[in-house]
Amino acid sequence: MANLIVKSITKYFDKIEALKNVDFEVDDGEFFVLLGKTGAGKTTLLRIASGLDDADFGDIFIDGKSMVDVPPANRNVTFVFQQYSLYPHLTVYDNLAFPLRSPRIKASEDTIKEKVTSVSKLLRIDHKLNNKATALSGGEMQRVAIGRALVRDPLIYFMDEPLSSLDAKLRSELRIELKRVQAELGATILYVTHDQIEAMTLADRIGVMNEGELLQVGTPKEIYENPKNEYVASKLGSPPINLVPVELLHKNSYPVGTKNVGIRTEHTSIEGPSELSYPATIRRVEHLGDQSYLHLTLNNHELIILSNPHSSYKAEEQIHIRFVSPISFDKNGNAIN
Amino acid sequence: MAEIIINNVKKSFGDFNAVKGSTFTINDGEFFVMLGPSGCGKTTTLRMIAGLEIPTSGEILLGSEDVTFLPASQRDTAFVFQMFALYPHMNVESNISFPLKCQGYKKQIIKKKVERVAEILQIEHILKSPVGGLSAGDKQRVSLGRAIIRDPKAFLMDEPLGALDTEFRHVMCNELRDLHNEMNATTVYVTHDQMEAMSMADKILVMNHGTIEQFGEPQKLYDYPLSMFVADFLGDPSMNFLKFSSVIKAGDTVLKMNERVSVNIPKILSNYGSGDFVLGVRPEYVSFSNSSQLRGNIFATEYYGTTQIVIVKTDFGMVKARASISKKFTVGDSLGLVFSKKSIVIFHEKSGKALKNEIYDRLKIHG
Repeated sequence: MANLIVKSITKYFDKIEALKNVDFEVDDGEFFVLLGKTGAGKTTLLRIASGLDDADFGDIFIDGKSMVDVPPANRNVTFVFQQYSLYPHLTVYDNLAFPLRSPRIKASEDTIKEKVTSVSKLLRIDHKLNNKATALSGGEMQRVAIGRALVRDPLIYFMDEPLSSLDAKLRSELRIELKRVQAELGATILYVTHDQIEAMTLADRIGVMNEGELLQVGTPKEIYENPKNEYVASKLGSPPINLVPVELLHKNSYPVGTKNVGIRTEHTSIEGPSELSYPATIRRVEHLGDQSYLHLTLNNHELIILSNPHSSYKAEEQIHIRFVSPISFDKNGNAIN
Repeated sequence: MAEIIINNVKKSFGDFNAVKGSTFTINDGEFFVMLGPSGCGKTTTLRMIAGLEIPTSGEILLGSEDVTFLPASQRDTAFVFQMFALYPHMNVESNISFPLKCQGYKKQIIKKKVERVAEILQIEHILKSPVGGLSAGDKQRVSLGRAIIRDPKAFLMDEPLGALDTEFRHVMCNELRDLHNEMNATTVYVTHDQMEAMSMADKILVMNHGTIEQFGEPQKLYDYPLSMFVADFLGDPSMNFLKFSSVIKAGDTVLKMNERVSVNIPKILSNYGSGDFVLGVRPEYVSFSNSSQLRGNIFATEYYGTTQIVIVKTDFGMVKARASISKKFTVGDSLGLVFSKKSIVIFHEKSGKALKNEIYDRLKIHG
């Protein structure tokens, strides 16, 4: 395994600046997730880091060595894509063995057997080794695709939304598996996703991207609790953070220059009327089983807050809410500390 | 608007029984969601209500009129599809007004109605835009508009949000529900997404392999599932299942899972004898206590921001617990688990059916 340094990467597509001077480091053994919506530049960045594309400016270092003139095949890295591209006519075993039989590696069949056996155990597909790749469920196919990356012992794994074509249940299962395997192998992974749940649950650190810029890097907790700006704040957490214009609130409670106040859905308490609370009307109660969302209006502004699923709140009801650890944002959307 | 009655409806395609005898009633003005995995028969049922399929047997009543064999065009229902089937060469306004033009309405009336629909859906500003350049959300709003403008007896929707990404889907769920609250039209909505179902439905009907597993209010289904299938399908993460062998008889309030571990459960009302059973408990009802005999080692933790999920490897399988983020957990540490008694459901392993207990009995929840 090795570390990865992305240094001042800039990329143009025609006149559009797809990546704007992006800098970050992935430590040896770290699970690093790039989070952003479609078009944020995360996949472009991943392709440049892995060598599938060239940058216009900047450099990539793997294990301390500049990769500018190194073709992808010589970088000793692997790539897992969203669509599991398996060889349909081969068995699971042969699919897993394939990278090791390539002319460049040409491992002995004994080594291959050892490697395939251990990786298939790790991913819990060892009972399906003799199946044709097409005789597998979606989750199993994606495990094989991941397994094919794992057999190789590369310096770095690059993964582009590897779980997003799976249904919700499988996705959450494979998430846990992938995290466990990564920890066991001490693998360095650069992982791209638009799914904030994946980012929060998998990452040691997250980099949030938007419009070609890397906005903030930190542990999931750091980013969730101390977002640098409104965009990052609204990117993590479901339902998203409430942003309330400060005019609707007790202005004196917030720092000078505050324009919007961010309140996480769980950072509210319902209590009696007081100087610290705000009257709000329940517009709708949304039951999701494990918790309920109360849709509120506070001075005509809509808010969503969490509540216990067995509370008896009803639409039209008047309540008083108090904010716990609100975050202030200035007129440019930047957090005020 | 109208009530819809489905009476012993069956549908076979050759040897394949897609719907094996469904009976249920959709009340006037209800938002009714049919939920299940692909191939469970939910879309076939919807298509029979719409008149796009004819039942093999049984009857369908729409507002007391027997419509079982009526063609779709004579049913006064509006269908919204997953793929927003819009006319690409027309602008938003023409797309929305199309059904009325076909029925020969006067221009003046059409204009009024389009304005009203656009106002409800908040798409006034794009009425003159071509549909090609619209976002997925706006396209779906336009196809909803085309359904609403006809003022039909019922709206039938087949995974209308399936093409959208998770976060936006939730935003659209809220819009759809608000729209429903405003129009109060009977709506039958098909999805495989439990979050959509929980979020919007007045009632959910869960289907599996062509049969009805359970139907009722969302929170009731979530809290008191009649089968492991329903328990597993609703909730994310879903219910924990702990397998064990034991003897269970009427009056039991303590369950012996093995030599060391016993848990308190709601009183069981029938004799079930000895066999293989499954204890079901939702992650939010699992808490921690050092004195508990039910122990395991922490396998992983997942950070969600609002809460975290702790995954514990026990003798009975993995158990997920929802915990406050202020608590610190270390992978590998030993942890004692406690289940909130009222939320425990016991299932027969083989049939997957829930055992009758005092709470189900009191709330009259049965198959």
